[in-house]
Amino acid sequence: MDKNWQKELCAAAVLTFEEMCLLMPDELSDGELSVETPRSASVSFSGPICGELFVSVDEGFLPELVGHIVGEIEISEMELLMDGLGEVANIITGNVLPRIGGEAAVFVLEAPRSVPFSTNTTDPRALLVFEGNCVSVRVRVSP
Amino acid sequence: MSMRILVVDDSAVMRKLVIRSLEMAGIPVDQVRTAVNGQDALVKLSEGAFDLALVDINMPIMNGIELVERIRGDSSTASLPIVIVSTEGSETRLAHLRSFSVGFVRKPFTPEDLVDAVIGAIGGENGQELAEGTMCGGGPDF
Repeated sequence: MDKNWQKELCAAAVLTFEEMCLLMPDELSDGELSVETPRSASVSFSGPICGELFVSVDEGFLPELVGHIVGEIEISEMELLMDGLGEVANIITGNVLPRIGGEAAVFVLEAPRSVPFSTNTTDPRALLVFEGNCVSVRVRVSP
Repeated sequence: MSMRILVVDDSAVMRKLVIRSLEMAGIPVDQVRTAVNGQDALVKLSEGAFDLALVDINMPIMNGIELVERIRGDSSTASLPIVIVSTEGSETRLAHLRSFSVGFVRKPFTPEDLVDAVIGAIGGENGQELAEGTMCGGGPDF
């Protein structure tokens, strides 16, 4: 696992959750997400580096997570919930790429999309824990 | 001053977040309309006057860069204050956008970040008046 990617992925993820969701992680590791009903969103990117960034979370935590973003308690519409998860992926991607590719580098980010949950132990990743609820952030860099 | 604001973003969650942040920052809002891409925004701009547009960059159909170029190229909207609200981190692309005299706030942002960019984009006496009425000066404490 690339240590620089790992470090910058963690930094971008923590910044995003703190400022966008007002959530500070209790724990941060490179562990795997292990939940019953995972939901994932991803953002593909191209430029000096190409790849795809994935954010995954248990479906049960999704309303609370997106609720923190918009300041509403009761959000149940799955389309809106996945839109929120996609934006989290979009913002983490937009913040991690200049840290890796340099501030002059131009990247093209595709629109966030819902994807099936998957994992790969060699990909750089971060597992953030918020009061027992886990969020996985993983990046697959194309060779 | 009470503002008519156009929020342009393809994400419903981000549109809600931007509007909530304006409210939290104490920006006096008379009317907020939303658009889901640049093309939709041009329709909304043709339907009524606005005091400010908050624009995302990465959107389908027409992105924020093309939208800004179209707004600045139309004499009826050329002077509209614009704040780009985006994940964009490339200095190369940001330098291009700054040539269109737009403000910029990068996602993720705080209400303070947003109001600073809005005041900067509006400028002049109106910007000063806005600053005095928001969290940047004389507004509620957060």
